[in-house]
Amino acid sequence: MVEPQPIQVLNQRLPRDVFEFALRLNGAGVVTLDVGTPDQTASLVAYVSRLGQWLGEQLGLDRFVAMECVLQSGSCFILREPDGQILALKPKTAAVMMVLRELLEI
Amino acid sequence: MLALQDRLKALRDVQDVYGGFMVSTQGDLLARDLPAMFSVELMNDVAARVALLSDACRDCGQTLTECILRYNEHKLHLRSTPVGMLAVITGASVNAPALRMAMNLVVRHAQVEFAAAPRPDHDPFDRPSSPPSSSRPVRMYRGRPVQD
Repeated sequence: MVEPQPIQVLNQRLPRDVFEFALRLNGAGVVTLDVGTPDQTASLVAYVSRLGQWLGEQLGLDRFVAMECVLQSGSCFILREPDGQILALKPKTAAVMMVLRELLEI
Repeated sequence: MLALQDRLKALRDVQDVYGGFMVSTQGDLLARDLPAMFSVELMNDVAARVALLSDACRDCGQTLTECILRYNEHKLHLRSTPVGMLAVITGASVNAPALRMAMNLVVRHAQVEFAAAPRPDHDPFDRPSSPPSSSRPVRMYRGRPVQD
C-alpha cells in the first residue's frame, strides 16, 4: 500500500491525516491540491486571503504571510507560499495547531 | 462613543501595539485609536472589509470568532464581539497573552457600554406625516395620500 504524500508547509512536511482538510490554490485560483475540502471552501479561502492581502496593503503592513481564522468548528490556517500559491489547512488536533502557529509565527 | 475610544487607548499599554479600532457588524467604524496617518476615509474602507471577512465566513455556515493576520513585520488581530469586530494592529513580536487579556477587557467594557446605551423610545421610521398644505382633507388609500 502506498503512503499518501505528505503536505509541504513551508520547510516542513506534515502527514495528510493530521488535517481535516487541505487545499492549495494557484495564483489563478485553480485548485492544485484538495484533500477532503468541503464545498465552497475554495471560494472562501480565495476571497478571505485576498481580503487579508488588501487589508495589509491599505494599512501599510507589508506582505501578507498567513492567517489563522478561529471558527466555531476549529482553527483554519491560510498561508501565502513563496511562489504565490495559497494553502489552507484545517488541523484535526490542538497539537498540530500549535505546530502551525509556530511555523507561521502567528 | 468617547468611552470606547478611551478603552481602545488602553490597548497601547501592551508593548508593540500601534492602535486599534472597532467595527460594527454592518461595517461601520465605531471608534478608533490610531496614529493620524490612518485617515478616516481609509479606516471606513478598512472597516467595511473587516466586516466582509466575517460575512464571508457566515455565508459558508461558519462563525468567525477570532482572526490573526500575519504580515512580514506586523499583525492584525480581529476579535468578534456582540457589537461587531475589535481590530488591533501590532508588531510581529507582540506579547500575545498580554494582548489577549487587553482585548478581553475592551470587549467586556464595549458590551457593558452598548447594553447600557439609551435606546430611542420611538421607532425612528414611525415619523408623523407632514400636515397637508391646504385645509382641504387629503384622501388616503393604504396610508398614502391620493390625488383626486
